[in-house]
Amino acid sequence: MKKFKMKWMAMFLVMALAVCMAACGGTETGGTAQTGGGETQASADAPGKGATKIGVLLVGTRDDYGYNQALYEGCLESGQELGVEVLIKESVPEDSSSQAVMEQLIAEGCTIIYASSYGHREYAELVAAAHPEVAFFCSNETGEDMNNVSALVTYGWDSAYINGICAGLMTKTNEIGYIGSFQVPVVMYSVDAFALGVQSVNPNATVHVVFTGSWDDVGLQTDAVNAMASQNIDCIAQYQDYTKTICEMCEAAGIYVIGYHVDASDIAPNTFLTGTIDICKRQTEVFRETIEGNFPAGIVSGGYPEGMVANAECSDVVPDEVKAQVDAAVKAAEEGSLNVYAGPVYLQDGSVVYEEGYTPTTEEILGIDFLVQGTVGLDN
Amino acid sequence: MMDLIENFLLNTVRSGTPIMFALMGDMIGQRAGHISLSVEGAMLTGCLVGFTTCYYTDSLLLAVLFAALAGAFVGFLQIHFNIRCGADMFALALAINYFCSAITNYFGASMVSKSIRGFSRIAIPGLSRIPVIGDAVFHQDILTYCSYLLPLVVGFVLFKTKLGVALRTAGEMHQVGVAYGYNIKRLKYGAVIAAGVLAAIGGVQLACAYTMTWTSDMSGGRGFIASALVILCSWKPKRAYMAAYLFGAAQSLQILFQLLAVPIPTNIVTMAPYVVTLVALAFISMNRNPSMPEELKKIGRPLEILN
Repeated sequence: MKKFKMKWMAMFLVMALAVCMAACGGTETGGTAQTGGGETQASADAPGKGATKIGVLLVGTRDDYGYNQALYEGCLESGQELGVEVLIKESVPEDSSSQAVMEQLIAEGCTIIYASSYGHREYAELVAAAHPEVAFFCSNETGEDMNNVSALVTYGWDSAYINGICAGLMTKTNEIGYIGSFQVPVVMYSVDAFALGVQSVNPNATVHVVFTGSWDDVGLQTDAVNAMASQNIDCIAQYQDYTKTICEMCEAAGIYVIGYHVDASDIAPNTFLTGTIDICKRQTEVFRETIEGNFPAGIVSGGYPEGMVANAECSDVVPDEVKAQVDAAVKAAEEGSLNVYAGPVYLQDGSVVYEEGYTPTTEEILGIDFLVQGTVGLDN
Repeated sequence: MMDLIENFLLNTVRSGTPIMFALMGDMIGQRAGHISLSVEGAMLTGCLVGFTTCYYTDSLLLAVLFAALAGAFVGFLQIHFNIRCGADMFALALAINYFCSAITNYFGASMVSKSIRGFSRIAIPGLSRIPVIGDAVFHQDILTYCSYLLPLVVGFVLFKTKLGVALRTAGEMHQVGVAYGYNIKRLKYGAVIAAGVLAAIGGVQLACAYTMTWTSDMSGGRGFIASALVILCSWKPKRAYMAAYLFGAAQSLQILFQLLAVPIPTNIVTMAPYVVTLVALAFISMNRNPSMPEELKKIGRPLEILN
């Protein structure tokens, strides 16, 4: 009798586990599905041609005040604009189970798949090889060249620079903090752009940089905010996937905060200044081209002028004269004339890295692994 | 400079506290002869249950209570399948941890964006005025104050009470316990469930006092660390003060060194406690230190013939 009971209990647990695992990738349907008569078959044509359903994989959940939320909202918006159905799977791990999720999305009729996290790419490539008619989008450019895989890569330096302008004008102690994740180029160039933005309006300010070695460790984020508060820092910017903890801590401590990925002014009404936000203008266009049969294999990249990134509207905390300067910079960025890294740019030790009059190429910027003068922190 | 030291101590205590709870929990379990790596899962479950309860009821007592219940359940799974089904304790623990990660991910999805008031910091009159350490040690939340006493309480129970003797018998040589008429099975159940409960309360501290946040997989290996630190303490409760805060200090220094631009790479600082644990493990194993519970020595030992 006892044995019998135990077996049932074991079976129940296994089933519970299976249900959880399956439910973790629960489908969210959004957008509008009114493309009556649209062709679902794409045959041997360009990948993703005539797609009526777009499948999106998120590594986290939709309301995380960060990367996933920005993508969730952006993809729904794209779907609405294009009149296609968008199926979004949340909390898809970066392992082989993502492959199953993609297969499932394809079985449900998606012919465009957006596997949004870095770790999804290698599994997307495996699925892509088996489904040449499906168009795949990833977030990182490193991978195999395939006819039906493309990368959507955002260049965030203009926006970071604008954040810097706002922070530089708002700080009273001239001590600004930056909570980064890893010392990888995408973070390094953002820190540098931010610091250059600060210096462009406030040469006396110092940017203190801390890397947590994680995209979302809330414990280290908390420690970092506490430590910065004790160092007389009165404005904190960040490069993290998940921004809610930092924004809330800053609000509680009365420290200005610059957001990332999404506008978090609702959780930090008295301290949120502005922030980098991901927008989907370019992404929507790329999806449209794909549906029309012009899949852009390789890399689709862009920054401010291309409509891949923007700044959150300055909050009411920001006085009008600061707002005016920020808006002017936004305008310049939209026109593509901001030139963030225009020389002279100096390293921490004072040596010149970009000579006066020199403007680094995009490749050079993407390889940045140093911190500029005016920052305190370690670049290795 | 003074600010800096104060802040260092504050962060050390705050990051060390969740580890302290899980560490003491697993120490009870290991003293009874069962290593529960599932304290990681219990802590994560405690984070979510505590945070959710806190959000809906605004009652801290209920948050701790429900989290403790959830942790007890995780501990129960760990010991039940080991004793009744004979499942390997380590394989089991890994499965339980993945299970906890998946289930909290699922049920926690809607809690990610929620805010709570959580535990506030209470200053102890007088003591909190002590320069340097006052603010860090005596201006904390109630769970942290409890964690200060925990090693003393656990030490007392383990070494000064009948229950402690019985528990340790289960871990040293259960045949003796059987001869004395102890119910070894019940003792082991109790010890491992206690491990789950304490780890889950550590999770409440992490989610509702320290970070005021719920995110998926937020325990981030703190439970595993605690389980390893039991060895660093060589199963002696009072050494937990050293072990838990060593980890807290490393985490705190990781941030401070960068703020001060101390030219030591972050990864080295973060690595330090692991290196210390590794070395301690090697020494303790070589010395045939009597403090290692005998029943644990039977697990994972190399073949005699190799030595």
